[in-house]
Amino acid sequence: MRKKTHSSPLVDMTPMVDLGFLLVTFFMMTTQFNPSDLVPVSVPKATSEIKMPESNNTVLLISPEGNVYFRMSEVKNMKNLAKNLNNKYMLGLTDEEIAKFASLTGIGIPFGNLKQFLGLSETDIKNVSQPGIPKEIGQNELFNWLIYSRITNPDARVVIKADRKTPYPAIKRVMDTLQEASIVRFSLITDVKSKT
Amino acid sequence: MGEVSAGKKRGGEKGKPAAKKLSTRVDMTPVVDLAFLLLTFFMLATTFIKPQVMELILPEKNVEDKSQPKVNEKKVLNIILSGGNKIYWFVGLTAPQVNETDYTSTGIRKVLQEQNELIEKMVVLIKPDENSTYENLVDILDELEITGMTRFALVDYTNEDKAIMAPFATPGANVQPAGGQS
Repeated sequence: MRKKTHSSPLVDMTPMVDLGFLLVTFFMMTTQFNPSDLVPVSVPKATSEIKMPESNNTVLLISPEGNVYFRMSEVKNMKNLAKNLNNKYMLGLTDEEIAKFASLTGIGIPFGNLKQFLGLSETDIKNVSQPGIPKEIGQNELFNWLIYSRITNPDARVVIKADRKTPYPAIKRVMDTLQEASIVRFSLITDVKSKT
Repeated sequence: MGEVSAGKKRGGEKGKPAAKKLSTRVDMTPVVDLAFLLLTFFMLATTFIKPQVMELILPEKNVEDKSQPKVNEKKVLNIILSGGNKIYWFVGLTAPQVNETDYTSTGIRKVLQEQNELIEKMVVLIKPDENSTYENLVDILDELEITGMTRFALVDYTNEDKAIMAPFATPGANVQPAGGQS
């Protein structure tokens, strides 16, 4: 007679593997790698529950100092935008530099310095602190960026992602520019806040 | 199928070579390790909370008629967003009484609700001054959304407003006590 208590201590791991890979698959499907922001911003909280559309965005990132950085959500659009700007402003960008432009997660460089900036190596580009797109009256390059983003992707929706400490005059300048460019519908990115 | 139970690893009774009788089971533990490693990675990399957005529509700028629509000043609630997270509000423009409040639910929200009951067809004008921040703007837009105000406009902080606000120009000096308004 065998003892009944003498069963193997090995546990069948197969169902656990099934479970593990099921969850892995789930998380792989749902994960999307958001591009990290050029400057860290902490967005203000609001009770709005409208979700941000995932594609066709033109994001204006505004740092606490009021500098504006520009990004379009698709690499394809970034590339076309670079080509359009290149043709219009005779920036003399090479294909390689256009590809570099498209890979960036945000651009805040005046047109005049764009070629020089894109000529830098990848690590230098990360380390260089970009001054933001000029938006002052008389030298409003942000206006041109907006116009050409519209030409590049007419469906793109402008989204403002600004830091909560950004002074209002900087925001107003951006909003005025949007108004001048006839972009009167746009969104402000906010964080979740429960209704109190 | 008793022969394939976990306990029987040795050869069977029939004397076949032991090598052929090895269990077909593979030790799954390393696979589990791998699966959970990947699981941990993707869990940490996932951001479930999608950014929320607040919709904003500004008036068109390039319209023929440049003049802004006129409203009766008695129906206008002016909200001045000032530095230091302060709000000043007054009704009308001729010698108004300026009150101070804040962004809490008992502050500006109450003011909005009370004034909305007092004034029929109230128009809210938001006037952020140069010391206010983006957070103040989003907060006030949010309060308007919560209280269901639809007639509001984001306008400039003009010199007239500055004149009205003159007694409050230096923070802390000559500030009237807040609240107590009906």
